[in-house]
Amino acid sequence: MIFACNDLSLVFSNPRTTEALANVSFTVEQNEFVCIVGPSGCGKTTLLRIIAGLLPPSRGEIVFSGNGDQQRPATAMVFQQQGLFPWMTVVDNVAFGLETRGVPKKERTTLAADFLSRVGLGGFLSAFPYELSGGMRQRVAILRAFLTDPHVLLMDEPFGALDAQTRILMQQELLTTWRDNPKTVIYITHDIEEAILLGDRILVMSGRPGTIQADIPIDLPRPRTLSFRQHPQFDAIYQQVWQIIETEVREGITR
Amino acid sequence: MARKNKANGTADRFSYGTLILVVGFLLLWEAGSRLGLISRMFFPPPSTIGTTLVRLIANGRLIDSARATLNRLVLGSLLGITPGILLGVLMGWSRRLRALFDPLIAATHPIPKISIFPLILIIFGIGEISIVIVIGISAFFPALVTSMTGVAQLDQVYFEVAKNYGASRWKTFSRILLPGSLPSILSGVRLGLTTALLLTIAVELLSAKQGLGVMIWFSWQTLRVEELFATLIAVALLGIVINSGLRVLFARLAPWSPEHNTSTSTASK
Repeated sequence: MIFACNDLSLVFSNPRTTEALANVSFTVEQNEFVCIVGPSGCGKTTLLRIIAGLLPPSRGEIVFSGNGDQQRPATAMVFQQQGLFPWMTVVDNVAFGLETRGVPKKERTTLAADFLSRVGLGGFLSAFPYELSGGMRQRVAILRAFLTDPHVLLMDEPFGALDAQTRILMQQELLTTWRDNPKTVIYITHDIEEAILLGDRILVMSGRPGTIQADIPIDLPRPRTLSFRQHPQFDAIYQQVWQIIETEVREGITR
Repeated sequence: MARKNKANGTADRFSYGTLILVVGFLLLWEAGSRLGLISRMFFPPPSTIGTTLVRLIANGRLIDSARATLNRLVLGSLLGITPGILLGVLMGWSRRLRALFDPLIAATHPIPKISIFPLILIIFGIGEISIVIVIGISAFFPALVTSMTGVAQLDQVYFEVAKNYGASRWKTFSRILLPGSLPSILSGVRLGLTTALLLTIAVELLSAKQGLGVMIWFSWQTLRVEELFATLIAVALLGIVINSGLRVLFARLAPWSPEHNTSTSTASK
């Protein structure tokens, strides 16, 4: 086990008392890729922000099993968009996670440049984010999180704002990067297919208050390519997840 | 969403249409004035204004006046913009400071600064000090308000990223807050300077011994209209030079922020 959420709850008290999360508990193993799927408004982003330390829970705790290396940060988060600093060049953005840890400039720049070059972004080292397409920006943001080498990598629908074709390529690249740099990942999405493609496990959430409804292992072989959809298990898992969230999604569009 | 690459900075595009318009206007004026269709006394032909301008430059009067004006402008601006930006950044950063000072700013900002000039004359006496002080006060407010707004409106996501990556308070200030609000700070500088130029000329009309404003006033009193126009051209040029100089400087300092694209918070959530 690398990290555990124990009985997390979150209550917002203003303006009215709203229970955003209730008794969320789960554990994640070393280098496991966990996808959290749920309808919008179910509290999945809130959960991620608590894990990232951006929001304190009302009850419960998050335990990281410290494997000694205090130098490495507990988490690094990839935001849906706007996560890159517009005033930093691509290479400085990627090196930022190392910068906050006090890695000397020369060293962190070399590391970041190498990392970027390996995925073919070597030509954009000194470009500013506004010069990049949305997809490239997210690639850079993901590389920054990987290079920071956190115990747990957190991703909040990183491809949610991209077009469907770009998203397919980005998913493939993420899987390659993850295979080459094994890491514990918690990935939030509302796209069931994406969750099945990427994850070792799917946690299905439902909202009001946010709770985990199911914990589904995905035993599809890796590497997974587009043909994974033909796998007989794909449909079974898809149906299983969909049945859990269907009622809530329906409520969401009819009320 | 994908913000497409915007051309870097250069907002002003040269257009032949505009040139034809200007040249046509000047030709009409020249002809009208020479033919006596408009009063030559109030609207001397552009060619006369041009030769007057050359003469005023050659005999040094215009240069000396411009130097006096520029001295006041630079001194007053430094005096006003520097504390304006410092306080503005602090007020943008700290909600408590903002709550403390904002009512004071809101109450004093709308006062036309030229109207407190007599008060300043009473306190500091007639002379350069009072002039520089009133210019400084006029530049202080736009610099403060613009930089404060820029800091306060910086997208929270950037601070969250910094926090998530464990950035110290100093790193957050020096790597996020300062560069993130630099475009606003720079527009604060520009607005401050523009306001300061306005006040400089206004105060010179009222009370100064030398300067472009003095020349304008003096040429009106002695009805040397061609000198009046020539000096106005010089003032306009001064404004243009300041503005485009700042634009070049800003493109250097904040290359990621194409001039009309200072807002970094376009994310829809």
